[in-house]
Amino acid sequence: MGKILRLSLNNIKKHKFEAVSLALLVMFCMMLLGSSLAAFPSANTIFKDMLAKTESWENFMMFSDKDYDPSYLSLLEEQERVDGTAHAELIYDMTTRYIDKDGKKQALYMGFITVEEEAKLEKPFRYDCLSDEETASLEHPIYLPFSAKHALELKAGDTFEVVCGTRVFPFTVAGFYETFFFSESALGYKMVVNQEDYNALAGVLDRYHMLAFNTKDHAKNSSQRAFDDYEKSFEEKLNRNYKDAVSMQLDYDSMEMVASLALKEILIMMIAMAVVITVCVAFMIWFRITTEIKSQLESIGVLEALGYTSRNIAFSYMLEYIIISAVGIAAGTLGCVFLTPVIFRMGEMMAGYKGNLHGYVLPVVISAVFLLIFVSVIAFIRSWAVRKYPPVMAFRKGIADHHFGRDHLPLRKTKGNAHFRLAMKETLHSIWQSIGLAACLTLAVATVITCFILFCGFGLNSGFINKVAGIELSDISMQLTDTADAEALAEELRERPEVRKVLLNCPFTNLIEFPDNNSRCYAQAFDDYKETEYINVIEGRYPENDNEMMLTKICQLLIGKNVGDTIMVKRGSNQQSFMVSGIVSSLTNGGGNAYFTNAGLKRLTPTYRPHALEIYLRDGADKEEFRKYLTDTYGRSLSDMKDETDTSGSYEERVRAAADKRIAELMAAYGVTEVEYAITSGDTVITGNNSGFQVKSFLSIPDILDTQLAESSKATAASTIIFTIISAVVVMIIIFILMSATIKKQRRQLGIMKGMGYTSHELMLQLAFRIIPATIAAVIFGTLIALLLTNSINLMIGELVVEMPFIIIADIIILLFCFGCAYFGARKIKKISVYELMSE
Amino acid sequence: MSSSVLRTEKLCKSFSNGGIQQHVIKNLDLEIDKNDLTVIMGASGSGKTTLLYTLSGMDKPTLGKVFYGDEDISGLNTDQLAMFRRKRCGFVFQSIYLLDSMTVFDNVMTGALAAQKNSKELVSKVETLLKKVGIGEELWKKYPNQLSGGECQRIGIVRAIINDPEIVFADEPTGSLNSSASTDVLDIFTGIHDNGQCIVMVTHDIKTALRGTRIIFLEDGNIVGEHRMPDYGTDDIKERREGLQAFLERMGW
Repeated sequence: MGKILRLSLNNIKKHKFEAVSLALLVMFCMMLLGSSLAAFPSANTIFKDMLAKTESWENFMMFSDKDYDPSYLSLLEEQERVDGTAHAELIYDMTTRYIDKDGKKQALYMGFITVEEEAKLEKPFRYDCLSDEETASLEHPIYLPFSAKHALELKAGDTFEVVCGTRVFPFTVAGFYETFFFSESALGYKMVVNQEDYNALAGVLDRYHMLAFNTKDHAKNSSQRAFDDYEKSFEEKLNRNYKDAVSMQLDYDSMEMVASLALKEILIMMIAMAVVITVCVAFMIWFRITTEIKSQLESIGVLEALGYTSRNIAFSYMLEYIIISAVGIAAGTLGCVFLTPVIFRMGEMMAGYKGNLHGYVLPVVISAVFLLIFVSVIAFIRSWAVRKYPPVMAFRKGIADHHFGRDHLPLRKTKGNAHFRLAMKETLHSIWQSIGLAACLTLAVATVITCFILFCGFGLNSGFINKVAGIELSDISMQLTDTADAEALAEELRERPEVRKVLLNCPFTNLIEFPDNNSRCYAQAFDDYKETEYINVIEGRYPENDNEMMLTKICQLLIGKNVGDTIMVKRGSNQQSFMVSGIVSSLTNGGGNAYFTNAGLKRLTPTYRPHALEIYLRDGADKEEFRKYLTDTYGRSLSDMKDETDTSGSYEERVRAAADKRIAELMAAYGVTEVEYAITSGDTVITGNNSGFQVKSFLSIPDILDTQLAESSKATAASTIIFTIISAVVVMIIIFILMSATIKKQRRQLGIMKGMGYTSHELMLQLAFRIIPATIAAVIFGTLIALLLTNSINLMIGELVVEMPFIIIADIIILLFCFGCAYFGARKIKKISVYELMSE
Repeated sequence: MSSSVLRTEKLCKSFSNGGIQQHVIKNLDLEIDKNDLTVIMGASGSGKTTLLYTLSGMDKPTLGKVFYGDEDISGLNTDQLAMFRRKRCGFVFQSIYLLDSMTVFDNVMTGALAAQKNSKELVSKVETLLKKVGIGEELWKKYPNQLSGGECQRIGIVRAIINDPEIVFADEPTGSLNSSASTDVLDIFTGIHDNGQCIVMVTHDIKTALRGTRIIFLEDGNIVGEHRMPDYGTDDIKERREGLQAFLERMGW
């Protein structure tokens, strides 16, 4: 055993570069496999752990203050499946913005709640807070969810300014806390403020009532069944449409799925990457042992003549790779210690839950043992080939080097570059090696191209994601009051020189049902979809008549209807049939949207009329300036006016301001549509009405999308970049090992060619050319695999395919990279003189 | 007008082995005439092969200069040396060094394509030369391991002369061949020399040395003696042998 160990160690010493490279591959593999498997169990339990920690309720419903009635809570308490309820009040608004560290206004959905109300819903865990004395000295303290700390780059003591219309509310960050819901940017952050600040914000923003409940049964879908029961009772007993009344519904199962979905996707990608590297490791071991046996046949003969058995020699090879793998596994395990916390942090950022991810040791041990056994088995199977060479045959260098086969690409037919033909001859001579290399590179290319597509699709806050958002991303989306005449306003705005286009729209606020499938989705309507810029039909065409509609890809899969099919759609008690004219890609609302013409939606909802304007500005027009113009011309938005405190101006101006403030309050809180007033003061009668309040709020959907997707974009971008770098390093190592081993194996042949007058550069070029067929095959098959993989994502959201020219450019870059690595890897030829090469 | 094709000035070649310098060629001045078949002889370790590799640009001298005409090749880098070799030198090795993975024809073509572009004339030239050295068409598609040593060396010679080099260097070209094959190979060398090819050959075999017109004796990296002979075949072979043996005896052979 001692002799065999020495033999193995000696071999490692002789091939230091290959040994280190292989150990690096094993290390990467171990790091990825160990870290991902260590994190997977807690990714499965992150939601439940957080629920237990915060003692939160499991299901939530949110009703706007004007739609809420205390009977809703009583009805909920009566439900058979419900086990305990709670009621709390909070502010929630989708038009809010904040001022970032660069002084720019960024869109962000925000919720505000007081400490007392928050305590009714969950047990808060605060951390990174200012001291009690410091907090007490703050005029406007605010606590934010922990994920906001990283996403908004804040720390305790920082100023956090909330922008509501034209009003700015300055807060000081008192600390951070863990929360079970509204903990990430997609639904918005729930922030804890004091009662005074809450009241001030409530004057400007919408108040909501949150009803929370647990279910008696905790089986899968029990939450959804409880919601269904409640909806039924709601409509039967309260005689109201539940879908019209409820603003938001969060059920246990959906929240659980969303909480760890992104993290699990990344962990699965890591495992896939580890599998790719494992295949590469297997190929490299197979190739290296084959090369070593061929180049060391004489030594094998000597050892056999000295009395070593084939088993001894095979075992020495196996031991060599066990030692190399053990070093790689040890380094990889150490890497796990550093990588796992990074994964945890990424997972926490994506889930919005802090401190609930734990590493498990057993999966790391299992990964290490698996890798060691895998390497040993591969090494033993290949090295067992030595038994084919008894001493005499080994002395004669076997018959492996002898060629009796077909003469591939005879040189007499050379046209053009002789080096390329010489390289191709060698490639055909070692066809199995090329196939093995192609297989490894295919997996690496598939990883890189998939990462590239995901990076372009999700990792960049670019127009690409907007393209598949399934929502119009105008410069300014103006929500109008119920009394405003949308068409007249649109016509007026179209005359403005800054305006390029104005479209009448119904944003996703109407929930519709498909009674045949008992499923729901949000409806959107435009008069002429050809005028839209971001709603892309991937199949069929836009709806043109009032009996036509489009579905998103997800809706299509859910409902099972195709273009040309007729579908029943229900809104309230009205039910109409529509023909599916087209399929749209969409990411918003979980991909569940339906698209009608305005006339079509009116057919379904007779009282419907467009109440939003999508305003597209010309190039160079200032968005903020135009927004100010809209505010000045068409009345300040309700949210601005409700909290108007300006006391300057003449007596009449102040009276009008006070009257306008009251009108704004009535319209916002009670949905009042017509207000007229006449105030007598001495001889003066001051009259007015609510005609100036045409604007309810302004939205900038692109900004909101940017903020909502910022965290997942960052995580996706980071992980795809990391995977691409790892793939590149793996490819580089494989090619370097291949080149190094080829130079060793063909040292004599290369020396002869040098002797004939081939320069080092020409020989390096020939060696690099040799991998071209394998690389081209890998690029083609790898890209096809990547497209198939991303096609599964397309099934969900539609057209997530990067333009083919970009993929081709990426492929060319991969090809050049591989060629460059091969050329660079072959540079060892330069260092060896022709005399040395031939003297062996 | 000088007919010298190659000359050296104070040529030195040393090797470092474990920090110990081993001086193999020492201040050697040599001139090779283009009409000669120069044979370098000497005891084992006298520096014959090292001199051949240094003269042919296979290896760089440690000190001194090697001139081909007026061109000094001692300052060329490895790639420049390769370019030089492909155009101006041919090399025949003791171990033959054919490319195992290539057919007979492709072995010669590989050498040819290093310096020339493929053409019908080139293919025809390869065919002619192969036939000329007795490698018939039936062997062209065979691989080196399917041929005898003599056949392989003949292919090696064709490969060395395919680019019409100024000098052909041969390192013990018959060292690994049997007597009959050696004679065949030497006949080829004599034939190409008769056609005007300058040849520099290293050997310690008298039978091979007899084919030379100029014998140089090397000892410890220095030329210690030189012997001239007329062209092979124009003189009585017995007289040639006696003359050479007498010279070698003087050299302590």
